Amino acid sequence: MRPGGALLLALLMMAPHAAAQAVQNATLRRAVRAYETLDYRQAITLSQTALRERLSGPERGRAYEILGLAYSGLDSLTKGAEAFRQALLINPDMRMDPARTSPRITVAFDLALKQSLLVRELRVDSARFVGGQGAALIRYTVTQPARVRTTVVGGARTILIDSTVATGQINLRWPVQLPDGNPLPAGSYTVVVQATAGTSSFSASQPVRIALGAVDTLPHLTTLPGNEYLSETETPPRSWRPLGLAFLYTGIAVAGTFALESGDLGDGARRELVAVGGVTLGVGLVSLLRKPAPQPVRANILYNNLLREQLARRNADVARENINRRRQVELRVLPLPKTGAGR
Amino acid sequence: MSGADRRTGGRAVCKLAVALLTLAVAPPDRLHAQRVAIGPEFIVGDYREQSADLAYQGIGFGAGAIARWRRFTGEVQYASVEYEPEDGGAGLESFSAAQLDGVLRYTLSGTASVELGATRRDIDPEVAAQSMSAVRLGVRLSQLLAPGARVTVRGTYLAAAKFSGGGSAPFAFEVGLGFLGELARGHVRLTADYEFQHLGRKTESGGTEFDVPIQQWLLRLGAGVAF
Repeated sequence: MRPGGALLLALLMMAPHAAAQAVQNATLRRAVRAYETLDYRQAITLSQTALRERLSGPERGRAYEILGLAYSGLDSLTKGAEAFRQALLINPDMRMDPARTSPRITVAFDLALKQSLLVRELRVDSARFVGGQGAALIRYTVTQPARVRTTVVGGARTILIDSTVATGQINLRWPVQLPDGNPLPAGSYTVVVQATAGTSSFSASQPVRIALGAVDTLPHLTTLPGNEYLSETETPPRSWRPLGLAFLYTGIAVAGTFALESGDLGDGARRELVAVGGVTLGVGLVSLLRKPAPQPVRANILYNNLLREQLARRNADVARENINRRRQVELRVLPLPKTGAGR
Repeated sequence: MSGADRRTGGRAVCKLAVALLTLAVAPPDRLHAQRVAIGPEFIVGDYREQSADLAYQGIGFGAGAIARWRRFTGEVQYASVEYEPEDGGAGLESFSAAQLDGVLRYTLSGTASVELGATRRDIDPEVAAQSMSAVRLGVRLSQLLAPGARVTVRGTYLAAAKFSGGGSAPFAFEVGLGFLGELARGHVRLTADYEFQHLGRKTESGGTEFDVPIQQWLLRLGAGVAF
């Protein structure tokens, strides 16, 4: 690929980034246009002129970026890397997509990264958790081995989160607590990551808002899902059994009487048998005709008792859990937009 | 029945009755799991002896007591019936019969039980009819017809029957049909009990054996309390 084509590709890749950062300075705009027309020497001259003028931070970073791109386009690797290094000190999160950028530019950019102590891509994830039972995640990348101190600053208070010697991608769990273990008071804070290696030092920051809230309590249970109370009584079907039993028993008594009776003594008065047999058959008939009374269902009663015991146990657990929850604080961590670059 | 036999049999029946009555009237805290019921009875009776000409009918009163302990049930019944000759039978004498029954019952299952006891019937005046005593060996079936309503049928062999006029009754049986209704959670009991007794009495005179059967029908209507 010709150098001009590769640089055009890099320019196209950078275009959205450039558009996002509106350039106010006229000289810088002319430098950008010169670079877009592949007039690298003019772009270098105009960028250097712009850097001597009054520029905002992002404009200064953009000027160094155009300078780095133009030097790289002219195969001036050392100057390109130095320009990128200055750009990175202003905007440490600047990045090149190696898949879409000229290798010469990528090499110059990587060289600039290796030469600089930077804390890049500092992120504090938004989080919501119960104090003491969770943490917010802090992520960043350190470009060189360095002593890295992570602190949170709010008002006159500075709290150390972590201090370590590290390089590369770092992930930290921040419990959002004071040294005594209590939750951090609600308010706005800044997470500051400072890397120090020898005489070099670099720090990056991320503002966050901490909000406190009450922890939701659990509702009292009235039923267990999938376990409904069963009817404790059941009306049995109408049964012929009572009448059958009355007939059977009366029949046995009648048969026994007739079998034992002596004919010589004449027919005895059977009114006694008729009376008792009649009462028995009458009760049997009434039992047949009467709507059966609901009968307790032992299995269902046992099941319901077990269900009530289970519910009582679960509600006791809920009550204990709610006592704990009323003492707890829900912490919400919300990252805010960054207002400045690293230094 | 000789005087000595009568005294021996009478003492046995009296001892059994006293034991069961003691159970029946003992304070509940001494009865542990026992269930005691007691109450009066109205009685209708029919008594026949030897032939259709010696037929009597009568009414009377009695009392019954039951005590339960685990699978055992003790029951005592007393009946006093004033018998009059049927159809004003000429030449027949009225008499009163006092009958005492006592049994100890063992429940085999929820339905069936076996019982052992004694019965004694005293006639006054003695010559009007036969006083008797016997040992009771019986089986009983009992079923609930409905909550609080129970029907019972029983068959009893009356062994070793003795009579005031002598003779024996190797074939002596009793059948019964009873109905029990319980009210007020079982504390009030209404009973209707049918009892038919056949005694195949035989006497011997001059080497010749004579059949002198005795039959009695009793209807007992009772009301009682249980605690």
